[in-house]
Amino acid sequence: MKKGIVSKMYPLSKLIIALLLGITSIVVHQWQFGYFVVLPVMFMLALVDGKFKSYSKKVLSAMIIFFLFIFLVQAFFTPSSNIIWEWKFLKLSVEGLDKALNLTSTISVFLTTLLLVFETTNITDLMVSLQKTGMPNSAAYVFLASLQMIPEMSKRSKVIMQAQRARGIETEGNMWVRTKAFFPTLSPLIISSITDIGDKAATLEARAFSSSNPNSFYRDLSARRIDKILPWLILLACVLYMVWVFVPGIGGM
Amino acid sequence: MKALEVKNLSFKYLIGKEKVFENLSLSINKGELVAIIGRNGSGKTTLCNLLRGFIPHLTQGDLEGDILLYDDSILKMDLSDLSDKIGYIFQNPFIQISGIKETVYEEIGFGLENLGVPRDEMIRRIEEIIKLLKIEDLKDKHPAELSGGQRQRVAIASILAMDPEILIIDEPTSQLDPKGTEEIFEIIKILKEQNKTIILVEHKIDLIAEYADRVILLNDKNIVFDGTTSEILSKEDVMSYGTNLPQIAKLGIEYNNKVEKLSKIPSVLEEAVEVFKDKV
Ligand SMILES: Nc1ncnc2c1ncn2[C@@H]1O[C@H](COP(=O)(O)OP(=O)(O)O)[C@@H](O)[C@H]1O
Ligand SMILES: [Mg+2]
Repeated sequence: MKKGIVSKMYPLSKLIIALLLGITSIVVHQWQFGYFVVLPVMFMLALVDGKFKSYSKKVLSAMIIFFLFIFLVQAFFTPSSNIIWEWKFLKLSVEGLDKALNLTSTISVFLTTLLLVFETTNITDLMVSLQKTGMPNSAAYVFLASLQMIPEMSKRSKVIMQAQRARGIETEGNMWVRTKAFFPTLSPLIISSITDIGDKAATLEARAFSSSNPNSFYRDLSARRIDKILPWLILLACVLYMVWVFVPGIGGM
Repeated sequence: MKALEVKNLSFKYLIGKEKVFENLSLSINKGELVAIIGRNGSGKTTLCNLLRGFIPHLTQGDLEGDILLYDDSILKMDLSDLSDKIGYIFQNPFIQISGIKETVYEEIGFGLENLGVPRDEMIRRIEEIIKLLKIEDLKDKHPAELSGGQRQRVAIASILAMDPEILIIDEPTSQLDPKGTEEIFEIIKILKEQNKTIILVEHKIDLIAEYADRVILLNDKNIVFDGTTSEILSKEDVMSYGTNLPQIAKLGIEYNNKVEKLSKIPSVLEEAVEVFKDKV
């Protein structure tokens, strides 16, 4: 399958751009930036990259979970006298609305950019690009290993649960029953994970993990010229935007 | 030439009550295939860990004596300098994968990446090993999805890719069926032909009889027997230390005790043919 333009981009460049946009959004504090600039652009990029469906599903579900909540709390519970809409105890104020829009806009910038980065980047590639800029092997290892450990752990806890059930411990039923059943599974889970860590040290050592030679990489990643230039262009644009917002007489608040 | 040498070694694990070894000495020559046998708990794995430097570098304990790799003390060396010299294949195949690679192909490359082997060379070695171990069918699989036997083969591949001249292999076939076991021994035979020094812990005594140059029997904190394979595997006493003898040797011993004296107790088929050919 041919890679889309976003997928083709050097992982580190994508990550840097995402963070630049996030920081800009915090600094300028204008909700229009998130909602009218970043959000539509990210969706467009996802579309161009052929990832629109799974991307928008992720963005929407992330938004629904805590976005709405934050928005409502901020909008309706910020004390103010400028009430524009009222229903029973809910009072919507100008300040509340503004605060809610700003906060959710910043969150949406981080959310939409980072989700797009992860949607279009193989995580190992991302780590390789970070390692090439000097991130220690061990940091990359810990990150990747914990990501891979999650399914492993849940598989293991299922096995332990089954064993507990075989011994007659109730593991199904209401919340309370399941919580009670959960704790006995915890200690075998932790103990087996810890012994595995001890063994892991030797396993990694057998594979020259602590070798003092500089690493080489099987994944053949290199930044193209565009990957090197684009973060700088975005940085320039962000700085110009901030100047426009903050310097009186130019744009100005 | 001595590849590895153990001098008057005594060792006790930090949390152990008793010593595992007391004043044990041993030397292993370059190119030798040495089998280590002994009952469970006799210290085979511990000895392997000592020879690889995992003890005392990763697992501490009370240690006296010295362990030498080509005359340099492993105890004083950096553990990281040993990884391309002594390969280690663990008893438990489930802990042996790196846990960060998405395919078997990249898993095999992990050690090479750490050693900083250039990419072209890395690919060449990975492909070579995949062919040698006949695991083409596994190369695109996720390492965590493999069975015990498959993992063991991938673990062997991952170590062999690093091309160490000494290999320590701890019960490589305990998870394997007869066919898988046969395949591992095929590989061991190839490694022997490449003049690797191999230390092999294995319970399948008939295979030891066939492949090993030398057998070391551990029992009660020390070595009880150390000699050529045919010499050790024809001793009736071996069985009193909780290890088995090859079927052929048992037959020979039985015949020798009950029927008539044999010129020699055979331990492999060819020897048996030789010994029995004028008896029938
Ligand atoms: N990490 C450890 N800590 C404490 N004692 C250990 C450890 N590993 C092994 N032992 C003990 O050392 C002895 C030798 O074990 P081991 O080398 O695993 O034997 P083998 O491989 O021959 O079965 C056993 O009594 C075992 O209980
Ligand atoms: Mg053992």
